[in-house]
Amino acid sequence: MGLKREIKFFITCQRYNWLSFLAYRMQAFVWLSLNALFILYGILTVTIIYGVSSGISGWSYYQMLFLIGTTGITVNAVWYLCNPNGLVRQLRSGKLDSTFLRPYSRLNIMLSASGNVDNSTTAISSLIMMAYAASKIGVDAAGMLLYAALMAAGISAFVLFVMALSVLAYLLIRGANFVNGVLNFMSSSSKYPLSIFGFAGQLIFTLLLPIGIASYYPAEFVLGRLSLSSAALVFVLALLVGAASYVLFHKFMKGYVGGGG
Amino acid sequence: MRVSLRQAFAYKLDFIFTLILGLLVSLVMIFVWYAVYANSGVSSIGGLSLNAMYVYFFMVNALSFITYNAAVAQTMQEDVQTGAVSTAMARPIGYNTNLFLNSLSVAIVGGLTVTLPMLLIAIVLSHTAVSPAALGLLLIEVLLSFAITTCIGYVIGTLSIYFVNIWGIINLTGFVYYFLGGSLAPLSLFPKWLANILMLLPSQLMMYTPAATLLGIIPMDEIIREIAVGAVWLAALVLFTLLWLRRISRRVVAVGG
Repeated sequence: MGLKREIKFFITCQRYNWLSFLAYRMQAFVWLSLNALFILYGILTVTIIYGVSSGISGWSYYQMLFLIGTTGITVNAVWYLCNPNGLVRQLRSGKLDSTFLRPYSRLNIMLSASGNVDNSTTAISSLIMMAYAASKIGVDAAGMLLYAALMAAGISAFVLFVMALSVLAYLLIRGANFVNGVLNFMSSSSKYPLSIFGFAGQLIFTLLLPIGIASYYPAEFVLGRLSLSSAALVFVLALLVGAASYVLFHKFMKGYVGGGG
Repeated sequence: MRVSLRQAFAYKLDFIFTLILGLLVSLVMIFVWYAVYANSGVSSIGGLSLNAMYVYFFMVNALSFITYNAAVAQTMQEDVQTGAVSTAMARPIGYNTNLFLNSLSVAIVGGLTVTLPMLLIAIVLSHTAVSPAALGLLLIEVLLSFAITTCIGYVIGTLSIYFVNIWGIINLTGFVYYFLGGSLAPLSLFPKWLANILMLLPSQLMMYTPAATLLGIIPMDEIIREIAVGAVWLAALVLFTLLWLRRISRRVVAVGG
């Protein structure tokens, strides 16, 4: 019953977010179109790299496109749900204080209030590119299903991680512009195989900044580079990161004493 | 200038972390190209050594803080939305002049706090020999790019009179600049036909040509030609912007509250 109510609240907020966004139709159209084009950055970079060289060791052109598409879906799903800088600005100005009095979970309220609906088109264009690359590579349906499950677990964990980090940033430095920067940095990094960053880099992007569990490892699995048992470990890791982030989020929120003036 | 500095440092740690992350984004491309060079087993791709590629991405990132002026359009949009445009236009200093000086101070602050230190780090670490002539040409290119993007900023900013919210258009402009200006890869690595077209656009002055000038990877006559291309664009844009602003100022009806 409680979960049903939370979901209903979330959907209502999404509807409101979309209506607010569409209030300025021209800018909404430009935003959505522009965001759909962002995927071109990755495509063009990889096309140039593979046009002038033999590319990155062990990765074909279409496998790289698949990875870029996967990262695009992951990162933009996270952006859709939370914008750390926007969230911290709302906490700072006390805009959420009255909403916190409502009978919904704080996490749900904050997720509903801070996302960017316009990132949906980037996620969709990434999905299209991922599907195109998958068709070129020849990925089987069962593999794709497991890939989707791994990604869903990874994205959930990653969203919780970003939320916890945003609240921590608010408590420590009252700003989260840098958390947006962290997200952009992870987005740029995970478009490429994590192996290029060496063992230390791979460890950082798996445990410290867990974008790897949401995009790189699912992509590796579907491309046949990761065994089923390793994929299961990634799934468990996603659950652990998600649970730890959830606990930390609530712990950090205890330090919130209301904003604004 | 003082106001811009204060705004930039309002949340000091946030500002510093953001800068560090800007550097890290350059590092990503450095890792990528290191892997590409290692896999290809060559010392040079498109006439660029691995070392030059490293420096290129550092410079491109650093230069974007001063060669692209987004502040004019952003401020105009805010002024139209809040109605502040009416009081701003009533001030003794002209509105457009005020906008220009404001955006210039933002660029100077960006230049002093980000671009200059990053360029120095890139030059020192890579042992790149930079001649005084290259520095002079770089300055001209940066000023030209700033002036061109300022003119475009005025035109884009006035669109807020029609559409009120123009964040999408402002970001679209930025996207086009970054996309075509050489932030993805040096323009010399693009297919020849595409590179030739891009070199005729003003966006080449934003990142590629200044970075290539400092690195010394394009000959002097080509640099002069690119500066000339930029100057022609600037002349045309100044003329168009002045005419456009004169025409559009009649349509300003301030509200807000």
